[in-house]
Amino acid sequence: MDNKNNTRVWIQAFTTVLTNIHIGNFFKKTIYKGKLKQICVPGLNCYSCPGATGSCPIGAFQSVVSSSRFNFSYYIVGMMILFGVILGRFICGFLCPFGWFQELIHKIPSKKYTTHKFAYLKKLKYIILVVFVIILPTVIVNVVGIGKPFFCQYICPAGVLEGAIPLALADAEIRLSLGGLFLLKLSILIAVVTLSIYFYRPFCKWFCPLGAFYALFNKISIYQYTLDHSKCTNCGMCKSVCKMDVDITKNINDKECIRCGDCKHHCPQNAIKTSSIFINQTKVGGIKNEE
Amino acid sequence: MKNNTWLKVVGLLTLVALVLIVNLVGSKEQNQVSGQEQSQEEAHKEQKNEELKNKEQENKEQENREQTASSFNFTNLVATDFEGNPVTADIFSDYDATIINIWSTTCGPCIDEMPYLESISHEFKEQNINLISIPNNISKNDETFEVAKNIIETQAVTFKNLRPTADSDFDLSLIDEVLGLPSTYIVDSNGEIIGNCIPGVLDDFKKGRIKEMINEALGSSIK
Repeated sequence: MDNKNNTRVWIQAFTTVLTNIHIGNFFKKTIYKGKLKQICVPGLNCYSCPGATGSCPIGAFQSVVSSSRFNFSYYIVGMMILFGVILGRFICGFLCPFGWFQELIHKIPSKKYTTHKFAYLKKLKYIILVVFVIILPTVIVNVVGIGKPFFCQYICPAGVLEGAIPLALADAEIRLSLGGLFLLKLSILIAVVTLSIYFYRPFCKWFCPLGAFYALFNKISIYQYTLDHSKCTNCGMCKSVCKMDVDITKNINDKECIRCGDCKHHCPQNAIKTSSIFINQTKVGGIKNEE
Repeated sequence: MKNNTWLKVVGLLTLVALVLIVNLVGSKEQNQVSGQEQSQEEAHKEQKNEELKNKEQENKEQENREQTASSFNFTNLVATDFEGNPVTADIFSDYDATIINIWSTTCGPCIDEMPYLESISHEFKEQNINLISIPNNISKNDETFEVAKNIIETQAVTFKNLRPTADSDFDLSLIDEVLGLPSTYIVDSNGEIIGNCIPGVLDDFKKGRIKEMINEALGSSIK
């Protein structure tokens, strides 16, 4: 059990480093601006992080919809759909650096609280996706028709953590020019960090527009979970260990499930399995019938 | 279990190797190309890569980070103004200092700050300090050049805008320090950079920084 969960931490650490491979740039007042920046990384990882290997899907999407020449960013959305269709929210659980960051913060010893009673906040991330990522950057434009990346500019705590803070540390002029906007976003980051101590992945659950986007693909993604109903004894173990408040026996493709595998590893009957839609077709069909 | 440990060790070593390779070999080459002009630069890229590789070899003995930044300067300015008149570093010689604003036609904040730049350009001119502007994505692309022309017309900009001459020694994509746009440089009457690059949209605070840096470098006392 422990061993398996360990594997996830390793994958998270690996992808975090892979996503931010230009570590030297942290000391150089610069960010990588080469060819790979035209490609998005799967997780939420700021373009302006000195180490960043690629672009953030959410940032890239906003920058394209807000530009005056393109109204819709087909290739960014295409890339996001590709990630979503293959992996769904597995990306949140395994490949997102900011998700891992929150998990690490959550390891700080304290009393941990359940987020069951805040379930209504889950919808907020869809509102953020639609309003701050799609509508505002497209609609509110300047004299020549260029909009702003509203989510990046006013909300995203990953940007402060990975972009603003390291760059401000490296460059005196940036440090001197930090103002109200930085304070606003630093407050958001501090709030997210504080919440992360007491709650598991609060940003992913309630605010992340990228998580919201991938959530829509959990149902149809190639990577799937399956539940063997003949083995399941309805003991409730999976539900009680799930930190994302999912009852996987009710809905195997719950939008909130980040495929972390805790339920799978804790299931005393080994009834939960990972699979792809290409194999185990019958089982997936079986679950649909149950529903 | 044992297999797993091996996998981790191998994975870790590969990762460390990759990080080292990217950071020691790759970063210099890759950093040179600015995102916006990339597609138009495809054709010139190979050429530039070679040039840069040569430069890199020369620089290899003293591998400090100032190296790439210092490979770029404004003393070798080769450009035309928007009316098509040739401009060289002589443009700096009539003034004690020149403020150079780097922008791009795709950069919203750069365009939004133009009225402010316009107002401070008059203020600075009274103190014999010039302000000029250079879009970084128009040298090889006539289409974006037209866009840039329209933008400065819309924003009623009267300070000079320059179009760097394609394939000249003056290549904005070699600037290593610029983190984003807009960014502002100050040069003296010879075109040598004085002070630090100022990142981001200018405001009264940064205007003050510009004055401080000019005064510090030239021993002047502009207000």
